[in-house]
Amino acid sequence: MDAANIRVDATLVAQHQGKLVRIIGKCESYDSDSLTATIISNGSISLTLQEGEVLKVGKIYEIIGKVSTSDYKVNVYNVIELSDNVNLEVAQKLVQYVHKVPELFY
Amino acid sequence: MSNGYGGGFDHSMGEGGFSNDNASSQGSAVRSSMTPVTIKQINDASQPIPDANFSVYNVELNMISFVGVLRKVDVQTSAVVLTVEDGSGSIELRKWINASVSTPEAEAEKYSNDINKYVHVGGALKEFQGKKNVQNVAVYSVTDHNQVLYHNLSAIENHLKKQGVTAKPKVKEGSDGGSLFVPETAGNSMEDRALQVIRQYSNTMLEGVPATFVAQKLNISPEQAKAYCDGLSDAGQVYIGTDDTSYICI
Repeated sequence: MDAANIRVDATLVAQHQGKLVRIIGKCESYDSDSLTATIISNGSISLTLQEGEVLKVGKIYEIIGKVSTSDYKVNVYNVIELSDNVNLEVAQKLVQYVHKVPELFY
Repeated sequence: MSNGYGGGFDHSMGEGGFSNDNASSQGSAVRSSMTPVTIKQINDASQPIPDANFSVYNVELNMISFVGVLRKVDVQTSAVVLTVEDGSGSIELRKWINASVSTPEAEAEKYSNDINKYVHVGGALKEFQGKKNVQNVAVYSVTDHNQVLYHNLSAIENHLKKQGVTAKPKVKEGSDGGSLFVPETAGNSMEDRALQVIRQYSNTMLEGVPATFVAQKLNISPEQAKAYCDGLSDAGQVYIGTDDTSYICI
């Protein structure tokens, strides 16, 4: 978990195939049978979860995972549940600004 | 670092009570204000000379704060070692335990509840035996995760300020560029022209620009000039000078 990761949203996932990313978003759907979920972060992102990982629809999470090289699904390594009041617009702005000052983040 | 510190989005603290953005007072100000940083900044920071403050891209790091996820808690003889990660890097924090107050095991137990959760860390960045370490570490768990967002934005803002980037004033549509001041080309009514004369000469006529002078400049009668100037004064655009017939515009 020490490896650095890059803060992205749905619009930037495609540019980070095969890389570790960090995404803040709201869970839109969760399927415990197929261990998949979708999360909304300035657009929709499909997640492939690890065994035993449970997400609740409507909650806000921060996901750390790797973007698959074959498609744009994110293999989730770690999930952090965030408080419900997180301002997702601010989260989006943060993603934008992070990429303007890479010297602080990656 | 009292309890109040752990609370909200408090990074403005650095700009608040103690600091002063003037370059002249930077030395002491930096020493006593918290600088919001990312862990990468700490890891990248270097000391220009031994015992000096660490700095990275013009940002001086002394008292620092950062927000990250607590990943590991290790127990040592008289300390707990916390590993915190924020996506930009990770850092180990050694928190010394006063044996008469607590034991490392008890402290580790306390922090283990926060593993894989966001924490806010404050402390002083020092060098010890060639390694960076954060002294007097204070670790608080983050309950409102907007703090994570705001902290990172504060770190970006602070960094950009030190690069000499300043925020552009927002331009409101249909207004005078959002500026508090009336632009130079205010218009061509007699009042506006009187204002221009007063503004132009306020710097040299320190006791105020006389209404009679305005009258001369605008080729109008002194009474008319005084009426316009009083109008400007009532509107708060000029101040009365040392007597009732002269005006100052800043």
